[in-house]
Amino acid sequence: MGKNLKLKAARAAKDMSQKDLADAVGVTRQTINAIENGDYNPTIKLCTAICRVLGKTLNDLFWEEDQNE
Amino acid sequence: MNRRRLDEMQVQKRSVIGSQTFIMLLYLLLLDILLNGFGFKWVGYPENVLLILTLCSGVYALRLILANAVVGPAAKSERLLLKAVLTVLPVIAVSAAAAFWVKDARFGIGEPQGDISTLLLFITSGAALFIAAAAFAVKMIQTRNEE
Repeated sequence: MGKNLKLKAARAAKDMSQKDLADAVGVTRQTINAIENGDYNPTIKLCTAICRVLGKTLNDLFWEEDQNE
Repeated sequence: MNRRRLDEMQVQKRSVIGSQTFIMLLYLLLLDILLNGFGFKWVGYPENVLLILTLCSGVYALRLILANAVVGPAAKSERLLLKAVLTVLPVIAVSAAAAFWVKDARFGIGEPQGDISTLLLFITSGAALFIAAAAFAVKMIQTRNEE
């Protein structure tokens, strides 16, 4: 699982730190850090919460293009 | 989401660490039984089990601290150090009082063991407290640096 740069970019665009985003969705900062670094695969519930806070869709943040296509 | 509880990654980590520690406990107890079966007695009966349990609990606690799976998101702003000190101090006081009151008591009809079990237990608990404090300090410094 690679790094989630789209999430990082969307967060930076909103001028939010990892701590701000973590507080907004009710998780620890380490969890957001792990998601951005690709170390943790979040549940759909957490994904939707993050999308709502950042004003993006699941496709925008979490859809990975298939490398075989 | 309920901020008082652990978040989903913390729950997952806690679950993995718990099951791994349980397997470790099982293997250590089996190893102890095996050694006893071969006639090798490293410590007397209740102390061997207690030491193995203490070791596994210590490993479990340490790994939880290092994996940041002890307290949930909302608890971060609370005074964790104060809480830890207020928990540890009464424990030490009660342990010292218990040791003082029962030091001359005789609970069995057998003669006193006189082996190194007491010393081992003392060193184990002291080392566990020291390691837990060190891990807590390292974790705090790491969190501060990351922020």
